Amino acid sequence: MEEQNYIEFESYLSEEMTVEEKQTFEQRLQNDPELQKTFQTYKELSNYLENKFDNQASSEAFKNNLQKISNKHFEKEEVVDTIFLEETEAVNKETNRGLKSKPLVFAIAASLLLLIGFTFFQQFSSPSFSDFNNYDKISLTVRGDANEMVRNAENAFNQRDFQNASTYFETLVANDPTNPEYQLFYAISLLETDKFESADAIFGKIAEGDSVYKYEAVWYHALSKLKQDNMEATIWLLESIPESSDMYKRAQKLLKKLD
Amino acid sequence: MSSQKLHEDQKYIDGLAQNNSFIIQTIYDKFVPKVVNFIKNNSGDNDRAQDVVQEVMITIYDQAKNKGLKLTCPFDAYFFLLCKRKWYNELKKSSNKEVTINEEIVSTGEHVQEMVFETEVFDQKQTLFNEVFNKLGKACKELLTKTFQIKSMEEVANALGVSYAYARKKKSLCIGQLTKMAQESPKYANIKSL
Repeated sequence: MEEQNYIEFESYLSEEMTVEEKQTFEQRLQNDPELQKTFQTYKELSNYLENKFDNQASSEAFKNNLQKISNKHFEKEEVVDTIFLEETEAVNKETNRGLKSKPLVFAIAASLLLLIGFTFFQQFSSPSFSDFNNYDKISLTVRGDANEMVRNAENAFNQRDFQNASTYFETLVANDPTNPEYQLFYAISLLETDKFESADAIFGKIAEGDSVYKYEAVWYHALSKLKQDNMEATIWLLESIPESSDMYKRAQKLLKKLD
Repeated sequence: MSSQKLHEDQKYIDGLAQNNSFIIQTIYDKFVPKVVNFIKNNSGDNDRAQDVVQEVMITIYDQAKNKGLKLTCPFDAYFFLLCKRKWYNELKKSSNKEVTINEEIVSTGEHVQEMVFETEVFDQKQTLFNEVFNKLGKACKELLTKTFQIKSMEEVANALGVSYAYARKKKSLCIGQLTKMAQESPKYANIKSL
């Protein structure tokens, strides 16, 4: 009996009953509150399942985005720019799943891309390093991260105190030599303080690896050469950024300006 | 409910449903600080406040997506009361001692109470349904997953290598099983409108 009821619920909900069958069924529901209740629950569960599977992807995306905004908020960061967030989403969509578990890496990568995006749209007649070094605020701390060194590094970098930032990042890199984000920001700090040789060595090292910062590193390496007025090396580095990279268009744009 | 006038703050609900970062950010800027203060003043901390806020946002998102949530009261009052009650429940769960909450005098209109009630019922159902779905046997889980992902019962039958009639019947019996499990759960009795 129970089974027969479920089968009837299903044909009713999927509108496969004849007019008479439908009437009989509705009559039964009216006369049987217990059945009515069970039918309601069945219907709600059916609804629940439909939504669960329909919205799985968008629901995941929402939760990820919420987590990011929430973390930002609770870190008492500066109010996040909407453009920044949209950029993050776009990057999230484009990139493979393996990296999804690292929203922080993404946020930083995205903020770098955004920074480069801004500079890309900047119109300049003769490009120089100072056209490119307006960095977006970086955020390295994760929730509950009490590491003071990370905080200091982040603050110094955001306040453009690159002298101190390079000291902090040097320690961070020493403690965590495989972390490419520390390396990248360390190298940028060095570049800002005109320690070209050390900076270039690190950019080169990141570029040899397979991290998400690979071509960002090449880009900054090129900027470093630009700051050193070594146009040949700048061009050579920019040309080595492949079409498949997100940095390609920016590199091409700068190449045109350098011609 | 449908006869009541939609509140202009529906924009927050729609924004959440659309995963609109600007709206989510605005909610954090405008409405969350009050919740955080409340939780911190009532034996909580930043971390717990962050969790409560996130859980409430996800519930609102789900309700908006699944049920087309229509807001008939100010978002501020609705959101705050949801968070507050959630926190209150957490405190009750985590301590056997009597919970004293520094009750604020908030005038909450009838609409707010009603909206909050609806959302809480929705949340309880989601929790119950998730629970029973997870307990479901492997065969049913697979069939239902396929059914609701693929949509066409013919294709589902093909994918599982069974006849159409069998797949149809199996689907209803599997949802039937869920129905039974839900009804037998102690949580079921506590959900008022099931």
